[in-house]
Amino acid sequence: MRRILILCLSVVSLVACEADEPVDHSAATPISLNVPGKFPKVVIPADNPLTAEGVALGRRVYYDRNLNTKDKGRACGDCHQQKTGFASANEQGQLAIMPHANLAYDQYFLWNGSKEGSLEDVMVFEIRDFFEADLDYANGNEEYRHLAKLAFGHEEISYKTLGYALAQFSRTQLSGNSKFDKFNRGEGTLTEQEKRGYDLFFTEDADCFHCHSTVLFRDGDFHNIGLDATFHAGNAGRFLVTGDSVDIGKFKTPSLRNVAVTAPYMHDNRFATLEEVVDFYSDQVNFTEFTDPLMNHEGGINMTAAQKEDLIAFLKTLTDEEYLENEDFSNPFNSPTTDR
Amino acid sequence: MKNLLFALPILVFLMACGSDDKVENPSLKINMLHTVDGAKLKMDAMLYANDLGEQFSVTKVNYYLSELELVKANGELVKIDSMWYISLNPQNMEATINLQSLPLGDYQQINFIFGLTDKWNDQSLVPVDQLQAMIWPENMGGGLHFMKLEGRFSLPEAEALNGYNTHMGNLKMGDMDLDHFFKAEVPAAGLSVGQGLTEVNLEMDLLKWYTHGSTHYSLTEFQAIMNKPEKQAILMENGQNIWSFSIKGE
Repeated sequence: MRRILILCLSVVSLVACEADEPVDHSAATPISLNVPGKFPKVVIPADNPLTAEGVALGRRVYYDRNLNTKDKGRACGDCHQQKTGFASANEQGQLAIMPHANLAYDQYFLWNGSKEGSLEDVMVFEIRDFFEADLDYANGNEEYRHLAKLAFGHEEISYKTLGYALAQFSRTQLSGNSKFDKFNRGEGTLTEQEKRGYDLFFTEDADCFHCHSTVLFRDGDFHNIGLDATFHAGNAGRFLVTGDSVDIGKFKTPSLRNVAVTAPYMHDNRFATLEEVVDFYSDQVNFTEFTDPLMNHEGGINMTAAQKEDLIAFLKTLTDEEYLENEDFSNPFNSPTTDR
Repeated sequence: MKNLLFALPILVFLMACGSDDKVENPSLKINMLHTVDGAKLKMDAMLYANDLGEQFSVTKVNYYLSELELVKANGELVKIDSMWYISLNPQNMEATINLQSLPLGDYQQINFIFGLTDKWNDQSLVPVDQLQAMIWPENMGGGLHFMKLEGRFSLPEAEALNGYNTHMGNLKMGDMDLDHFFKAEVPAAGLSVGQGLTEVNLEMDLLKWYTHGSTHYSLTEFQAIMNKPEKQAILMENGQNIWSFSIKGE
């Protein structure tokens, strides 16, 4: 009897979902994700399996300037530029552009985490609310309709179609083949200086690893690292989302993947170089009632000049040239074989 | 119509989980309670003081238990070979360990490993969000932190704040190859597991991590201690005496 009831439940659930939006992946070409060694498993949602056509559609969406009705002439790829780790420099004081790499593991998005959920959730938000994507343009584009038909079983393109395709493309953007990764997998070595920097990074001597943790070099959490001594709407960070005073001045931990090419640094671009960043952690930390206890001391960790150089040498081993040059992530509209 | 379609599965599900699913098997729910010097923990507030006059708050409490044992009145052991992750946050201070299908009877003691034995100290066993919170670096031995206890404090007569971060874990670095998990044995007077659910409390007094008899340790001594075996040893010793047991409602 219970089996029948559970079967009823499943059928009724499917009917409810199908009434919402029919999806059929059967004509699409399934692809597997090339997850770098020592990386955590990537969870792929059942309602958005990875397919060649879905990824191809997502890649077009990422770079197609014509989709943006709010700010014509700009696509994701205009701010998130591959050669600079899918980030780019904007003006000091503006919220910095966060790099795109390994977003497959993220749960919170944007500096204050105001977008929370799956990659699908946030990409539908980007399409519908951030870009206010031009669905008339997409539906009038033969290539879009063709890819959508193969990827999702319908030619009619919705915000969800574009968002899910973008999520598929983003899920493939895995950066995990830097000099550090090769060392970490036993496939390469670090120089003596880089190794000293590694030991500083991964011990409490410099104590970088508690926030920039795992091979993702971030912890999925928010911290007030003592950048400021006073707070206002412009630097309140996570507090603006939660309204909880414990979140004053907290910002999402950015990944340090490709950090040597993602200048400027911090949520407000206040530091132009890695040297300035390390100087801050060494000597300029403000310990207020909101500063993360991990920061320990007023002032900072007091590194020597040699230690600073060692640490920066290690940070530079996080650059993944293969990721920065991978054609699979490049602008398809720049390809001589692809018409715009 | 759509509302009806969504409501129907819930109704069907409730019917499917009808009377024959009523909890009858002997189960034990252990509520993990956290106090500071006997007072119920309130996170993120400078509410507490130690005997040295240091004011402090608690901002993070994350830890692992593993390999729990229930000791019957006759000394027989019921072993539950698993691991449990406790992570408190100010919005949800509830933390529980649920044990199912236990042998009926009276028990006199709960034993467990504070931290993780080698079998469970494995990064591949935990989900990504937990790994990011608790990973222990490879160059210090790998695996996971056993505990993160953090907060802010001020020294007596001082206004300036500081941070303490009491982290425990195995230390395998250079010449050091040290295990820092330990077995806790907590008397459990009155624990009797019958049909259905039994609910008990296991309480950790956070201040006792820094207290041993009449010795009180300053929080300044528990900043950045991951590679300080002498501090880990103090915690392992103090950690034996931080627990108390009670039957819920008594």
